[in-house]
Amino acid sequence: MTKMDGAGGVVEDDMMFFALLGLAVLGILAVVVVFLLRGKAKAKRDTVLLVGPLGTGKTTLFSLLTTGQAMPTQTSLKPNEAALELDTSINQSLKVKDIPGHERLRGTYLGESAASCAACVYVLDSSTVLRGARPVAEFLYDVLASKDMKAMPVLVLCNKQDVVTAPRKVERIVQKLQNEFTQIRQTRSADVAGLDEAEGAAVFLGSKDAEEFEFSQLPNRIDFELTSLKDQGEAGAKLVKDWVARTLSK
Amino acid sequence: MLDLFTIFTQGGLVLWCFQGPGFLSGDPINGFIQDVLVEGRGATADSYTVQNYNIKYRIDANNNLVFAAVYNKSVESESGYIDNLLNVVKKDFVTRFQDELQQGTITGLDYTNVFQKALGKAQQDYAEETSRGMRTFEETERFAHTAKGSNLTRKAREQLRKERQQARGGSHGEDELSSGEGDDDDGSSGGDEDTTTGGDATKTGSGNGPAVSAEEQRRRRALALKNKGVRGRRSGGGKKPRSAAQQPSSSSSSSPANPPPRSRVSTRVEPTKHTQLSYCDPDDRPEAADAISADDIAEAKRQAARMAEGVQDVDFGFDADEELLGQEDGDDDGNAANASASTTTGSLFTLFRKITGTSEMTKENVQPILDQMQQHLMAKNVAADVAAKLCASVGEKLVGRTKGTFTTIKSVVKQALEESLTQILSPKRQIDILRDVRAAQQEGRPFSMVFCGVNGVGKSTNLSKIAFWLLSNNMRVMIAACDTFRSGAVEQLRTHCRKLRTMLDDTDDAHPRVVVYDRGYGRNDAEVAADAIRIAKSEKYDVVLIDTAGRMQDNAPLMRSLTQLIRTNKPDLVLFVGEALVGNEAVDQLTKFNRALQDYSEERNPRVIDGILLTKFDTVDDKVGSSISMTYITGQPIVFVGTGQHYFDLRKLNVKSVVSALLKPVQK
Repeated sequence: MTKMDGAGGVVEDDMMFFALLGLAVLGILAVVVVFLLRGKAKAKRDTVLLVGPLGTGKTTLFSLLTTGQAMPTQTSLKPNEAALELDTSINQSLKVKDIPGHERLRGTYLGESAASCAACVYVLDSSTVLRGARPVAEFLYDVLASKDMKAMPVLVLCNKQDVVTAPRKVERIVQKLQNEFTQIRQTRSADVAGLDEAEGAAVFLGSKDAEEFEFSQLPNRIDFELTSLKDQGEAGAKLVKDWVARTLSK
Repeated sequence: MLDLFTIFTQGGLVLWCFQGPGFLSGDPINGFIQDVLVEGRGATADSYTVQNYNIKYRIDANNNLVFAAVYNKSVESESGYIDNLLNVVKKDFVTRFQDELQQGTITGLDYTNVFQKALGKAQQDYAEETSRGMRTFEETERFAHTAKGSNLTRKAREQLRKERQQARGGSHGEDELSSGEGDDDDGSSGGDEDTTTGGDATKTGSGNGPAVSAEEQRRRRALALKNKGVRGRRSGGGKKPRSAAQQPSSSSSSSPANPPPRSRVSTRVEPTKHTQLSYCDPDDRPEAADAISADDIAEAKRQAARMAEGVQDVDFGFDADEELLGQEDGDDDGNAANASASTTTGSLFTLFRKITGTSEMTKENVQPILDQMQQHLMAKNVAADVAAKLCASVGEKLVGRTKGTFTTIKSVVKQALEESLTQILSPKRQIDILRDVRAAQQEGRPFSMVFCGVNGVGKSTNLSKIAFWLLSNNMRVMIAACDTFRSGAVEQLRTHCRKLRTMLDDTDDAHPRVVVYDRGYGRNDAEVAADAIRIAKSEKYDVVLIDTAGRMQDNAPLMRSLTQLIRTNKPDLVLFVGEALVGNEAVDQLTKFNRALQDYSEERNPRVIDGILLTKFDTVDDKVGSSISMTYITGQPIVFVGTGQHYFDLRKLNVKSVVSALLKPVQK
């Protein structure tokens, strides 16, 4: 009996070891599966991105869209993300993501969010856009040229209409941006090549035949709206929600 | 006087804020966010000065919150309570609004009453503290290092220590010796000293002299050991320091005060006592590692559990065999290696637990990985200072955050580092030279660029590459030979000019597309540049490229003349030319160039370096660290990268590929 016991003990130990080993292998497989699934789940386009230069009112718009109130804001360090409830329902559940506008941050966060973008709201400060259009246009150009944003609908929201220096006509802003785009696409296509050959982003936007760039040359649907989130926050939020519903329900 | 106390999310939403009675001029908080939190400057200090304000802050990484207090810097001395206030408020706010923060219902949080109470209490506490007056010399730990202090008044010191210990209710006996201040954080850092340096507590015990210098010696030895990459150092040494740490009085009293841990020390040390009291002989170490029994492991685990309460984990050495960043099997908890040394199943379990567990990231378990990352960055030719600061700022971001399931701390740290590197390399503003040249054309003046840098980095070579690029974009280029110092410099530029004209098939001598302007040697370079710009304007050249003499950053007269050149000619772009081969020197070069340009200029807003041209990039393979060092120091973008010996070997930096090159394992 004692002999049997001893042998059984050894066998049990071995069994135990193999059982544990099997468990561990299963565990590792599970991890691999989870990682694979995660990678695939990325491609879903269900996010409305709020992008734009620093201090134009993206985070204010975000808080208006998600909480209904204009919370005081500071420079964002990280994106804000929440579910977006539209007034008129469309078939899809949507999220809204506010990308920090700081030059050093926006590239990273835009890059990782672009693949999930369903529509994009480009917020700009209309009180300064006529004087300092170049950085505003450059960033918009980057957004439109990036591979993941090709043919995405874009709403250019000209905020800060409450400031005196803001032009009351949207055409002036459109014209200014188009002029800038004309120059940017010329200089970018003549620029020094990057270290890596495959850059992914388009260098030249619009039709090559036309000398002057116009937004109508792009495949994207691009709308312009004027707003003042400071004075009429609710109206601004409604405007954006309606635009999203209109664009995505088609 | 507190001017502003604000609590905001890292997303930029202000949750609650307190406005002091004073008028707050400007926007100090946004400046602070952009400078400190985005650019990662001042990561070592938790305070920041802008205009007239000092800002102190705390970050709660778990809830993504920032707590910041703004106060006038002229009343620095009265504001000692702010640190305390920040700690109290941070703790209270997070617990009070835990549900709201998790659910995201963060509008209209009312915190004013609680805050006022906390503010009043902090101010009162501080007032009491300061009214107590200064410590006498006898109370300081420095006194303990004097001969008198160490011999005559040992009893008195012990008495004093005990009293203080009781008053604080603390358990960190040794802290009092190593760090007399002993505020909240000090407990853990004191413990760290014990555990990291560890080992021969008996030595300190026998000699009651300067405790710190013995400590220092041990630390140095440990460091030397660490650098050698000796494995398994923890196996024997890891346990001893823990017991030493639990024996508060072992360092000063020779008689065993706490019998149980004492006995553990003796049994544990026995097998290796004589051979390994000092860890100088690495050859013996594997044996010690083999000698571990199951008892040891159980003991180690018990110890680790106990240490989780107060003492820091062992910082185990840099593992030379481990691939730095490629492998995900990290060193999350202190006894990982112990466990892996025991049985296969044990190690599998540990690995599994490490991967699946969710745990808070603490300074102790992040630090060893950060140290590895720092070593790795330095191996990639990032300057030591920059690597250290970078890792410190990454650590600051991570500590306190909860690590999710299916990630190791190492992967989290790696990702955070990747983010930081991308941030540093992403340009703060885009430099579009062609665009700027067009703008200058419209104003009817030439666009001027100055190339400066130390000797032999390739200023003239890359200047001619840029000339080639501009020429191929139909610009007319004048090269101003302002290196009036080194013989052959002018002829070198003339040769380039001749070659460029041949390549472009430019035969129109009356209106050449590229020309060198020179006035020989020994002239004042600022005057030569001024003449060149004037002539370029009248002869309708689009761009003036100003080549300057190479100069060492310490050469004051030459730096002064460069400043004069820049001040009088007001170029559109000041490019610093630096070679990618440079390591630690990059920091020195750039800081001194920048400082000289500021110091010698008598203007209010002096011109500093606008951008960087990184040359010889083809020679460094994946050791591209100098690009990080240079952008970190100046905050300016790398405009061009020189990649070879041909005129067309000029590239733009691709942030993604540089970051991935930096994070690749070091080639051996």
